[in-house]
Amino acid sequence: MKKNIKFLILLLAMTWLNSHGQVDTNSVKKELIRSDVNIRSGNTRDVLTNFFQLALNDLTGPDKRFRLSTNLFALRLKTNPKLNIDSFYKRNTFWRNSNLDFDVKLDSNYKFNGAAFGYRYAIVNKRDFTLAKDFERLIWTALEDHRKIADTINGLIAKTFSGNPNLLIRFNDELNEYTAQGSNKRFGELSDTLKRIIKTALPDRTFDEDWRFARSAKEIYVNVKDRYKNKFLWVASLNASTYSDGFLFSNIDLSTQATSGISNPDARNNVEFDINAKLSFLDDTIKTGRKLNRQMLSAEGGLNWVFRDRNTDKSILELKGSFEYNYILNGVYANEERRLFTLNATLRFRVTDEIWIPFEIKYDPEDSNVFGFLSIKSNFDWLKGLRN
Amino acid sequence: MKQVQFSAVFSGGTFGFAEFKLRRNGLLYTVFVIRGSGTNLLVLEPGLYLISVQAVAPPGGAEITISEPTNPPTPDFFDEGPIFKSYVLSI
Repeated sequence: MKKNIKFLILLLAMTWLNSHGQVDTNSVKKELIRSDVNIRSGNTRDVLTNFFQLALNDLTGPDKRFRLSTNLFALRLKTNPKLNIDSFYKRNTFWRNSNLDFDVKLDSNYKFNGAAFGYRYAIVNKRDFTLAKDFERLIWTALEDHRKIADTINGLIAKTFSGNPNLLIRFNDELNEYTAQGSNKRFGELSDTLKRIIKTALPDRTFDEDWRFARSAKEIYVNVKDRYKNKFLWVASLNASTYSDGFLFSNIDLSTQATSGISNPDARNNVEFDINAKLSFLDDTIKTGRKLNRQMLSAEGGLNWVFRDRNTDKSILELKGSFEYNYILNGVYANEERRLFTLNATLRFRVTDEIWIPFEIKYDPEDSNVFGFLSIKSNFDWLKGLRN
Repeated sequence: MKQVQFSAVFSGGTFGFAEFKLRRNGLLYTVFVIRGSGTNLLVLEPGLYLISVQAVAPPGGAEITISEPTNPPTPDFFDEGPIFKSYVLSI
């Protein structure tokens, strides 16, 4: 019943918004986008063979399409897993910061039907906690309580059973089982002897019977990691796509984007700034021939307020205020303005886990024009569930 | 007196570190830290040791090995996250 209501809501929303309806095609069928996960490890030859097999399978499959989105370092790890060791990991900055996307399509007669390529490089990535200089200090401090508990218990076990190796091994094993990564063991499940040792070692502490040491330590680790999620990120990218009837570029985009949270990273609701600029080389469709002789420059900057659900921590409402500037460097069409400056406001609210409805309003201060856009963005993965 | 080698290999990040605390016959013997992948060689007196390791592994995990000449090495693999583990060693 619930599923039918979801379906009805979607149909109504699509009908209502059909004039401006926009589907986020990037997220549709995302499971068909290959990544390094789909490529087997091995020597260079094996990896390449596997890669081409995968491409061949997808291109001759029902969709006749091969899409790959991967990080270059992840691909290199397939041929040399040792690169992941910290000293090598640190040195491979270029590879770690490089991401590659491509998408090749064939038509029903297995002829080339267009391709798209993308390369993205993280110029500054403060979100990558794996290289953060302060991560060690932050996590060590955050785990102080757990470290003290483990250390005090270890000290008492070592002292109590110093003359009896068998008992030392037995209680050490039991403690290891309790503190081991992934352990779900509750304090209440420990043996009475070990519980007595712990209570003797830490007399001022009370332990909840449901307290899970390992899970609690892992939660702290995840929380410290999450503090890096909204840090400064600056990327540059190059995207290009071809015509569907030949390997000739129909557009090339050079873009850059910088974003960072500017409020307390631990706060449920936060604010982030987002600045992006793009230089596009496009085919002037009015002129004959295929040349990228229409060039556009666009820039947008603004603040985005993210409001999260108290229980799930998922973003439920986002409000973005921004300015946008578009300038056509070359190839202005008749009745088209070369420059356009607008003030934008976008309100996006989440209807379900998969559906976002954005309302966008643009204001042109020069001509006092208000362009109102209403669009629906969604991936439709949940529709698969309705079929079953 | 025996030589014991302590080694840690961290993958997928640069913040990996491990603190080793050695207790011999119930008393604190020595404490040292391996920051980043590395090894430490110690000459230990005979006795019953409890070696406690508190560490944090980066996303690629960690491999901690304590080896001495008369016993086979004890390599231990850990996933990303905090590590709390102790080993009993008789020398």
